[in-house]
Order: sequence, then structure tokens, then C-alpha cells
Amino acid sequence: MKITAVTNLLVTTLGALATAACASVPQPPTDSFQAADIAIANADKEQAAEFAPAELQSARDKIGAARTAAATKDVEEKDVIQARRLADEAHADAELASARARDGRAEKVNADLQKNVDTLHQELQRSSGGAS
Amino acid sequence: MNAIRITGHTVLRNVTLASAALLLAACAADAVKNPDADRVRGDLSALQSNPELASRAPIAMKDAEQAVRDAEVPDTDTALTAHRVYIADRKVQTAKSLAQAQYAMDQRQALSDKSDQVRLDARTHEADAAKSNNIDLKNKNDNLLSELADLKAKKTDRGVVVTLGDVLFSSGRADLKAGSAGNLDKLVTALREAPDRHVLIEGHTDSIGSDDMNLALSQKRADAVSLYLTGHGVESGRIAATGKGKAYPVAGNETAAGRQLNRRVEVTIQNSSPQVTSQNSPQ
Repeated sequence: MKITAVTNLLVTTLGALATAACASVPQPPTDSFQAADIAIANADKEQAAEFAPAELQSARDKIGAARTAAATKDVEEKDVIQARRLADEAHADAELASARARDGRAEKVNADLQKNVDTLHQELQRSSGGAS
Repeated sequence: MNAIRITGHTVLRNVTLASAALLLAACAADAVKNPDADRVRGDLSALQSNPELASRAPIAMKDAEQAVRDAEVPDTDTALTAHRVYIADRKVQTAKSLAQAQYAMDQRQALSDKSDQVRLDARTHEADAAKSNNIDLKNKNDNLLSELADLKAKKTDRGVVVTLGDVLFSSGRADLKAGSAGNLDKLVTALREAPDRHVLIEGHTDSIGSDDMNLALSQKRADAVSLYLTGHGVESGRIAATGKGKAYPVAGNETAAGRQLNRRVEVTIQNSSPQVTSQNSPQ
């Protein structure tokens, strides 16, 4: 009985506090921010600056805009929603940048290989032409 | 008949259901097709029907499918719809790039095999060419040998070696005897006809006298031959002259005949080697 009473009081108080907090200041979507930050860091590692600079820049611009939106004075719920959307778009941009960078690197390796094959082939052709 | 048994509660429920149906109909009527979502759906369909890419990025493809479905859900909030279309478009493009990357990596093995094959062909070809070069070299050496037949030229691994006996020099002297020009002229002729060959001239002595004296004498004799060759038009860049002293006898030094064999200058017409290297063992 006693325990239940205490628990009830605690839950009620916490609930009230949480509600009060939400009502006064909408919380920034830190989870979306973090996910976008990680995706941008990954894109950097994949050499997106070289292979997908536009997508990487878009991701950076959007996460910046998202943070600005969430940090405005007298932030409202709609600002938080806007911030989350921008952060999620930054996240998608960064993942696209990573994918394009990975593709770019893979194709470059293949192109180099192909070039090697062609060069060797030509040399072979030339030298056997010269020998005959 | 049945209507009689309908209770008030059931009526209420039926009304609710009817209202819901009406609402749904209203929504369906509002669901004007979103052309942007259609476009993204088209991109995804193209990717899914591309045999080279369709199965190469399954997880990203599933993600893209879900995002496109979200974008296709009609909503009065145009900003939300635009956001969902944006996300869907990025995810479709991401899936496409990942599939292309995977395709490129799958192609690499084939390319690498091709590269190896060409390399192997090149090596085989090189080996064949080297073989024919060797035959070529052998023919050239044979020509030299016949030209230098009078000088008793010998063929070795390093090239054609001509041994000029001590008849070229007076005892203890390094200047050429007057009568030796004939032999050297044959050498000059042979060298002019093989302009790509380098020449190594090595002077040797018998064991009489000090090491220093013999080294100096053998160097001077080698230099004298070198001077003669350059004086007759053989480029000095092709010639290296060195004195070996008494270190490499070809016969015993106990007899006069042996000592005479040891007093000699060896001229090696090298096998087209760019650098002139000295021998370190007797012939």
C-alpha cells in the first residue's frame, strides 16, 4: 500500500514535470541531428568531398539549417518539426554522398585496370608488329 | 423483419461505420496523384527492372521502396509530402549508386583476369623476342669471330675475347711495336662494324717484378691499346682500359713460354652491355 502510494506520487509528479517541460520549450530533435552528423562523417571517410561534393555540401547546409531552426528564440513545435525534417534530409544527402563516392571509387579502379589492359595490349600489338 | 431486432447500440455502430466509410471516400477523392512521387516511383521501377543492378543492393533497395511508399501517401501538408518525396528520391539514388558500386566490384575480377592474361601474353612475347635477340647476338658474334679469326678470338659468356700477345710490346715497355698495327687494325675494323658494342681492355703481366710495377705496366699497356683504338676512330665512350698485373695468369710462370703467354692484353667485345664490367677470373 505504502509503496503504491509513493510510486503513484512519483509517477504523477514526473508526468507533470515532463508535461510542463514539453509545454514550455519544445525539445530539439537531437537523435536526428546525431544520425545526420554520423552519416556526414561517414561520407567524409568515403571521400565524398572528391566524388560527390554537391551532395556532401547539401548535407552540411541542411544540418546547419536544422540546428538554426531548432535554436531560434521562442522555438515552437513547428520549428522542431522543420528542424527534424532538415536533419533527416541532411542524413539522406550524406548517405547518397557516401554511395556515390563508393561507386566513384570503384569505377575509377576499374577504369585504371581497363587502361592498364589497353596499354599492355597496345604495347604487345606494337612490339609484335615490330618483330615480325 | 430483422430490423425489428436491431438494438439502439447496433444502430449507433452502423452509423459510425457509415461515417467512417464516407470519410475514407472523402480522403480517396482528395488523393490527387502527386507527380513528384510518381517520378520517384518511376526511377525506382527502372532500377528494379535493371538486371545488372536490381539485386546488387538489397537493403538499400528495400529502404527506397519503403520511402517511396511513404511519399505516395497523400497528405494535405504539402511541406510534409515534399519532404517525403525528397527523402524517397535520395534513397532511390543511394540504392542505385550502391548497386552500381557493387556491379563495378563484381566486374573487377573479370577485368583483373583479363589484365593477368595480357600480362602473361606480354611476357611470353618478351621471352620469344629475347630468344630471337639471342639468335641475333649469336649471329653477330659469329661475324665478329670470323673477322677476328686471325687474332684467335674466342667466344665467352661476356662477349668475344681477343688476346693480344706480348708480341705487341717490347719487354718492360708499354709502347706498341711498329709491326703490331696489322692486328689492331683488324680489331678497329670489327669494332666499327659493331658500333653498339662496348670494349673492355685488360692488361696482364707475368710474375717477374713487384706487384706495383706489374700493375702499372699492365695499365699502361691496356691504355696503349685503348689509345690506338680511339686514334683510329673507335669512340672513347665505348672503351674501358684496366691493368690487372700478374693476378690472372693463363699459364705457369715457371717457364719462359708460360711467362710469354701471361704477358698479354685481352680485348673483350662485350655483348651489347651498356656498362663495361671487368672480369675477375682468368680466361
